[in-house]
Amino acid sequence: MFEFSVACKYLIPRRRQLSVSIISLVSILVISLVVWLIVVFFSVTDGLEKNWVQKLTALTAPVRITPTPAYYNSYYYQIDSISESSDYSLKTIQEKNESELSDPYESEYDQEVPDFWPLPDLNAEGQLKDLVQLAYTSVNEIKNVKGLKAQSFELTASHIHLHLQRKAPLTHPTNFYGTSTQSSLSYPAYIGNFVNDNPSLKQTLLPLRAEDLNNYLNTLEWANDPQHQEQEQSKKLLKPHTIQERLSDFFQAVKITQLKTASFGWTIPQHLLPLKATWKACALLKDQKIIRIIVPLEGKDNPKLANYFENQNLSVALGLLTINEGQIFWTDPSHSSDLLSANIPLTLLTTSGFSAELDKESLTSAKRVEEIAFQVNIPVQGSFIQGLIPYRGLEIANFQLLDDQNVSPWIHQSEGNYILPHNNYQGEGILLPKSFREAGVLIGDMGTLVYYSPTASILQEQFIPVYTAGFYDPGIIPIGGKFILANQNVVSLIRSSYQQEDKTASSNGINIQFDNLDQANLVKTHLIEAFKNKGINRYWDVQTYREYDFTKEIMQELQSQKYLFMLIAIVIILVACSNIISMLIILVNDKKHEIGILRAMGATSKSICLIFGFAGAAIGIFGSVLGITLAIFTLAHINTLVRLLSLMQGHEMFSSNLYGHALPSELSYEALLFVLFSTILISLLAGIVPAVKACLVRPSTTLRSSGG
Amino acid sequence: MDAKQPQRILLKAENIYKSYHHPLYVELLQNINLEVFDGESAAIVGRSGEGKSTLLQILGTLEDACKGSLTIANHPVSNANKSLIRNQLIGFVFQSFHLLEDYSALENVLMPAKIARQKFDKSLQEHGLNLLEQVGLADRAHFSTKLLSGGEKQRVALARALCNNPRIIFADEPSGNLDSHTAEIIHQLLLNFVQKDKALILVTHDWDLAKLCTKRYELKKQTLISC
Repeated sequence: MFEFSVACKYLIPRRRQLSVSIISLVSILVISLVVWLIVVFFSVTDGLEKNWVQKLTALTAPVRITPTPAYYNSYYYQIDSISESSDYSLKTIQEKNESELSDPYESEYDQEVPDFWPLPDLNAEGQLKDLVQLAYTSVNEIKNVKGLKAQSFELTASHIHLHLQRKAPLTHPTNFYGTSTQSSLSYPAYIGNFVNDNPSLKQTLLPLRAEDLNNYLNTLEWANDPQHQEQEQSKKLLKPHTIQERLSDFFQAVKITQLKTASFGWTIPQHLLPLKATWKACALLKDQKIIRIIVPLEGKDNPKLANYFENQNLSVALGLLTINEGQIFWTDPSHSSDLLSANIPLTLLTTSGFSAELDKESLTSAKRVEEIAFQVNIPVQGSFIQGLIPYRGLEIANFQLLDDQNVSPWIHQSEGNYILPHNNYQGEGILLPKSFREAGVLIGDMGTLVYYSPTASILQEQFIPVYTAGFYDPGIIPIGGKFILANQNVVSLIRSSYQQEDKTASSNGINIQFDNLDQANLVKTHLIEAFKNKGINRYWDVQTYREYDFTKEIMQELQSQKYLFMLIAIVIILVACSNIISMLIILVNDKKHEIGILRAMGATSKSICLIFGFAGAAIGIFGSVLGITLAIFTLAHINTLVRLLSLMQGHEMFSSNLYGHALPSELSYEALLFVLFSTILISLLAGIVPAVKACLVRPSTTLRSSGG
Repeated sequence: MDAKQPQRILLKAENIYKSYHHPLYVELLQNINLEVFDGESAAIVGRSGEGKSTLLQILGTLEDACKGSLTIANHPVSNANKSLIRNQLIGFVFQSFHLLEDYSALENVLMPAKIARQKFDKSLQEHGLNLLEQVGLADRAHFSTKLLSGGEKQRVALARALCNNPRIIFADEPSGNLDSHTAEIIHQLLLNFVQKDKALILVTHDWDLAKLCTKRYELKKQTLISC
């Protein structure tokens, strides 16, 4: 195309049009910088918002149906309390849905219906409307929504009490196998039911850490060791075969790749000592006598180690340990060399892991965790300790999950549904929010849920034994830090014990799950319509995730921030593109003569306009493409960049509480389209003034002025 | 000017007036009437500053007249068809050549075809090379116009004017900036153009050139006198 080829010719930098070249180069750079910034910023914020919303809906659902006060006042809800076939107790939505009778009341032998109750809401056939089942039917009638599922939810409050038992570090020279410390943690908390087929659950579950696995094995170890048990639980010692089962389950899910020594060190078995070795080591002294030798993995760590023990008020001597064919010598700084007695234990203390492989045979015979054996090859200061060693005094440093689909060996997956475990020894598995993990809770920690059930005379304290099966990230919901997920029966049990008037409207309802969050409003309108048609709209409230009490403000905040940033982005793009105007005006002035020639040869004023329009747009497009390429590159390496910035700043740049452990790096196509569209539009608009100026160039004047 | 064959009128200008209001009011042209038939070459002579170039630009649709009408090859000139007329029916040759400096000689020659949105293919390129050969510059086709001499530039400009096979060529002092030998070549090329359905209108102060034309007019005191 003629206009396009001329525009391209104009844009190629030439020495003769230096000012134009410089300005266009600067405008391209500025535009690409702005585009880069906006695309990166929007992609990251979009990703964050998506993460937040995903976590939010993992906890709840994109759309929720909750009963209104009219529901709780209705004959349909209250009738169970006076009906014999309902056991004279009110029913939850789940129970209502499962019950076969819409109206359990039998006028023949149930007590009279109080006259202050509202009249039963009857359908056209004169039968009582089953409000819950009608609501479920309405949900199932919705078409064209992928993955639609309705599930009742319950929410209640309780008190969680967790018991934390940890191995203590080496504080005494004779502490060879470690002691444990005990502490406990007690919180009031909300308890919600675990929705086992929630598709976004997997993303919100926090990945397992080695500490969690260690804690799990520790609890298993302590489970058959009376001296580590609290009194109340001591009667619940695990049988050896149960432990064996648990261990084999455990090692079917987890492959241990690296081990490290426990915080109190690992005593090197005599038979595994190398024939010849010289190790830098620390001797722990008692009454000037060596009672234990601690060997670090790397010789250079020796002074650090000594320093650590000195801080623990232990008396320490640095020296050299020489092993020569079964004989062990200790050389202290004063160069006296002594033969060490074989009774003095040599303890290895590592901070990093060494590779290890499970000995499968040991698993079949192990009756205690400590009896599992590993094949190791530990490089200790140049010599090797290799062979089969028992797990005692060791810890997991690194591992792999054998099944990628599994999030945790304790949250089982069957037919796409996750199942929270429960067992007789540990109790009910619960999922705790991230804040608990930050407070030091590990997977495997046991405890109780405490609630009170009022009887006629006293308020009785009730316990449900629970243990930590996993952690999830609740995102930024205000109540997130206190929101525990448990199996439905646990929640129902606690909830049913409270007085009826405590049951607030939001504590029971129906969660509606579907794949695409953008369809939330569609689902909501469909439901409201269906409820109206069935005449049950006054009993049910329908809310999307943007309207929940605890999310409304954050969602609105996110929305208005997005608009604000969009506005700012447009202003920045405007400023960046304004360079194009000045560049084009200079270009028009430079090219007046050529415009005249082209006009004389028959180019229309429209063509001339187009030439400069193209030139402006080309700069806009080129700048955008450059910026987008840069942005894609930046996003691919964003976490490296953030680390670099954090390093320069000296503290973490983005708090992981708010932003997650890594910033989202997915390119937001919405942002891309927005930036591309607005940049090209604005650069086209910027071309208008110069282009009009160019078409007003009179060929007669320019041809004469440089003519003669 | 064969009497047996009725000549067709190629350009007709009637009652052309032109005046400038800025910076001073100047009456430049008054009641100019001109008819040019095919096969004719018309020379307009006059003293410097009389408005010869302005008249030529008005006739060549580059400048608007204040009053009067202009018809080229039976098309009344209006704002709507000016560009098309310039592209298809007219070719210009200027005193200072007015070539596009960023392009090669061939590209310059073919620019009118490009503006007419002809496909830039081999046959078009051959057409351009042909034109350059006609003006004796086939070997300069891919030279940058910056490297050409004045005479060569003017020949390229002439080839460009011929690109879309126009009916009329307007030449404004075509040899004004050239030495006499080169000027003669240009004159010859220009006069060769005039054939039975084409015409040449040129502005010059060179009487020798004017004498070679079939018609001569003198612009004097704002009016055009045949001489």
